[in-house]
Amino acid sequence: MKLFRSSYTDLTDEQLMNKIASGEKRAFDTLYKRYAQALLNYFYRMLWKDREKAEDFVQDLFTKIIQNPSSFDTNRTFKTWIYSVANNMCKNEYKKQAVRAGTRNGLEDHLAVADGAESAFSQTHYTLFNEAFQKKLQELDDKQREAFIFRHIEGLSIKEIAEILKISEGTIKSRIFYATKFLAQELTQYKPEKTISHG
Amino acid sequence: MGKDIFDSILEKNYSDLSPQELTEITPFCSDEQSFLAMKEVLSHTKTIAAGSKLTPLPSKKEELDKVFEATFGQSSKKAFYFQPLFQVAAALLISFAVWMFIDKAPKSTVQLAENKVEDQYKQIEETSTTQKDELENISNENEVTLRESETENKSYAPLAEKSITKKNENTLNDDISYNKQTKETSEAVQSKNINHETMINEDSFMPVASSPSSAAAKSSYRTQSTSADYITSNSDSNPFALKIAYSVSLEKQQKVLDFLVPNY
Repeated sequence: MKLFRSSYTDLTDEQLMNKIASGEKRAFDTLYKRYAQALLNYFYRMLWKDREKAEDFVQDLFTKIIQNPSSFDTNRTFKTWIYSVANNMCKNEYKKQAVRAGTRNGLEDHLAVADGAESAFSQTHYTLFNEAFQKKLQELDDKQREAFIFRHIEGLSIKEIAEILKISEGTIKSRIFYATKFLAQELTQYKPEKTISHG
Repeated sequence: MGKDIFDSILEKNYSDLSPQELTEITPFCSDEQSFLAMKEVLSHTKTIAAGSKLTPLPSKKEELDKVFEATFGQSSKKAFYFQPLFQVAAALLISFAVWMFIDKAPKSTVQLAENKVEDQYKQIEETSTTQKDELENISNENEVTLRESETENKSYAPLAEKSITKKNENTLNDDISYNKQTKETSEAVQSKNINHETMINEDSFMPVASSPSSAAAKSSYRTQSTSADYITSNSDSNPFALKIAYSVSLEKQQKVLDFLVPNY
């Protein structure tokens, strides 16, 4: 007999999804607690550091889970499934922005915001490097950026990323290497090894 | 998560890389300098990832809760008896009730039984007291009636004597036979009285089944009372007959006559 709330925290993501499908609110609360923050930060990084947009995307994603829990592919792990859904949402947003701005992926408008904010963060080398890093990250190719963020910011494994993006592990490694090489070349002038120690 | 080539770049120096790792990174960093630049970027990225993170707004969660309620409606609300606290409370209540029942029931049963017996004894005592009082009243009334009749007999004694002398033997025999019947009736009444007293005395010591016996005793007493009343009423309507019945039926009558006749 499950008497206490903590029993839900012991359940796997997949078990929680089954319970959500049967209308158990506490299962939903547990799952939300596990992923809401990570997804918010993911959307925040992927969507030009727009917090409001990131909040809306998180809400949209969990609304989909509530309204259509059967869309979860039980043959996959929940973590890779939800990140693939989030990634697809980002791709759709890129397309929308590209159509509106007449650009490749609509990044330029948001980069302008980032440029404006750069002066506010130029007090230290660390913040300078950090801002430059964020800027260069946005300049990356979408596929390289998503692979880089998944691996080095979200902390997913190569295997999980391959599952999310439905491509081979070798391709993922290659994309991450290219992204890392690009960032290293672009950020050399900021000498991160010194700025980090100052920070 | 198992370690991969990017973990090796972060953790190892260029010279410490295995041949397999060197083969894997060579297309992207051909020398140690490019290796160090890549390592610095990855290190800084790790710092950023571990840095301050955004927290979802509570208002967004509340909106999601509303969506959940709207989607699943009442099904998301469990019945109250499925609530853990209610289940625990119910289990405790049942345990307490069982404990109370096991511990207290025998004592309470004995107490109830004692109370019942005490009540029954009280009822019996009250009933027997009432019946005794009534019997005493009846016997007093009978005595009064008897004394009155004796007094009247005294006043009517001369007439009775004359009447007796005037009547022939046949009439006397008739009277005697009639008086015998009356005597038998009177003795029957007396025996009923004795029996009734016996019944009451027995009933008073019967603990539980006293109520029906008391009812029977009362019924018997009423029968008895009716016959006594009948005699009394007869004495009013036809006192002479009754007086003859009493006077002739008893040997005392002869003694009375023996006493009265010489004095007259």
